[in-house]
Amino acid sequence: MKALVYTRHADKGVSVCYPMADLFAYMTRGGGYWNDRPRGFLDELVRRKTCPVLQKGNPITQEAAVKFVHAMQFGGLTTAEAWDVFRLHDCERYGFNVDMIDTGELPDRWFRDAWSRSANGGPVSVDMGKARVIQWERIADAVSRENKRRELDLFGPAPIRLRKTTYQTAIKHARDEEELRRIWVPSLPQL
Amino acid sequence: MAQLFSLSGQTLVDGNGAPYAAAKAAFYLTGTTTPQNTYSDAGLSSANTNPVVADANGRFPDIYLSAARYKVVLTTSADVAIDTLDPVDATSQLIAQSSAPGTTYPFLRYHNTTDGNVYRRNAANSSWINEGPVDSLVNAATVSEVLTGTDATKAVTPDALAGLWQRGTDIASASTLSLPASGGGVFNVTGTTGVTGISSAQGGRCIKVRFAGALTITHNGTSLILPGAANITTVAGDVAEFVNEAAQDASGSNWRCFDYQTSDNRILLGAVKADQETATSTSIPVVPGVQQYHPSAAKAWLYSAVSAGAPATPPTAHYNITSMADTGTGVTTVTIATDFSSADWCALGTNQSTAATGGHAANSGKAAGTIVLRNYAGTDPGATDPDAYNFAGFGDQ
Repeated sequence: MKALVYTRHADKGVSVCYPMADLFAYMTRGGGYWNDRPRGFLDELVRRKTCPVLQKGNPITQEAAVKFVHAMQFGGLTTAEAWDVFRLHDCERYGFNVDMIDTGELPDRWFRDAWSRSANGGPVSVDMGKARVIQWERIADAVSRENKRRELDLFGPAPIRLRKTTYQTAIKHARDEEELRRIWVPSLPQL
Repeated sequence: MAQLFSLSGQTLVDGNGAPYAAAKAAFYLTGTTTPQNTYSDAGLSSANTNPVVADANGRFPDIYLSAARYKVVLTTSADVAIDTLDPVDATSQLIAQSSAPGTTYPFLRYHNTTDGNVYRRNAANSSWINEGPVDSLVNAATVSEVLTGTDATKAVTPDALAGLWQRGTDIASASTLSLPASGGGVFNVTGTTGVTGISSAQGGRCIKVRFAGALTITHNGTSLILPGAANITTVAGDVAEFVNEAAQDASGSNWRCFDYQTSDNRILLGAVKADQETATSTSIPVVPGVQQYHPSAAKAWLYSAVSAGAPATPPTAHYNITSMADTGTGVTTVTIATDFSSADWCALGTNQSTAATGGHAANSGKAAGTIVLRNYAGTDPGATDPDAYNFAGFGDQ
């Protein structure tokens, strides 16, 4: 599946945008998305999309708004041009370095919030610094939930005692995300 | 037809039966000595001498008379008077002129080319007797007269009567539709020029028109009254009926459309966006294309199953959404095609999740054209990926 990946302005995180397939049809065929609207509605829509107040600080540019409404209403674009309209309208209000990718190229989702890209964009990789924190939080969260369950189970096993230093060391020395992910509490099922 | 004088081909004889050889017949206007022509042929093209001279046997040649009253003086070849005949009326010829002849005599007939009737002078030569039309078509009412409908003397032929109902010549669309003088009751309107009126016609006239193209008919409260006082955008094949509400026996352009049939079964006076947003009418029908403007209708919604954080098949179902972006674990950013008119709209989310991944939905960063959806597992503050995102937005667009 194709998608648009971009680096967010706010936190430099990575977002993956999936345009709706039926909107491609409007853009690449005869348009007409707002045929039932009164005269002047396209201009009003451009105003709304570019208004910082209405968009809570994330307006799109005049060019992006005009291209989007024209594409949707009048169609006639190539597929490549339609992707570019989505880039302008759906991605650039939140981020930059927008690239088209095949979603099969994305890293494993276990460390989704550690996804990162270089300053110039390019492929998505896992930020190991963030990933180590995520892995520890997942272990701690899993143990916490398991212990809550065990506390309520009168005749069940005793709560797990997490030896933090052991995990800290292992997590710290993991060489890649695969090795990092394998660090887990043995008595808990691997998520 | 000219009238043959009574002595034509006859022999004039004296009291002993002896013919007057080379007798003469001189023709004058009655009561005068003004010579009048006579003719040797019925077409009145070859004039006789005047006087006309009989042959050696006293036999006169053919003498044709045009319509007039004559005095005929008969003399011998030596100009000895035999007899004077006055008047001699030639009434057979039907003269044609636009008004009654100045000189009249009993039984004179003429064809009035103005009204098409034949008139005959009475025996006393005191008045004209109308013998009726010279033939029925000449005196029949024209199509125009039928459409005007005020003549009380003329008869109507089937052809002229058909001017009320038959298909007329096509009318080219124009600001004022011009009804053809040749009449008709059904017309094809060609072209796409907007129509703001119909040409003047007699009060009460009805016409049916079929539009061959898309054009706008503009309502006018006096001259072109449309249903609901609203303009109509035609579609090829639409049919409308108009009646002219001008006064009785008067012409004008006060047309009212009293019936309109759409060719594509669309509702002519359905609710428009403003009607839906006002949401107070209890009489205007709603078509699918505008129902979403009602305040109670969702202006944007999304159901998208999620697999590994991404839409499984983007999206499973949605309305008015351009994209959803995987923004992080349990977080998606939805972009709306038709932005709300303000950022203050209602967003409802009920994410679909297993017990492990929770199902609490929240939004953050809601704007006129975007919303960020989060999914929480139970009371855990950390977001987790749901099995599916469900979201609906209500508000003004």
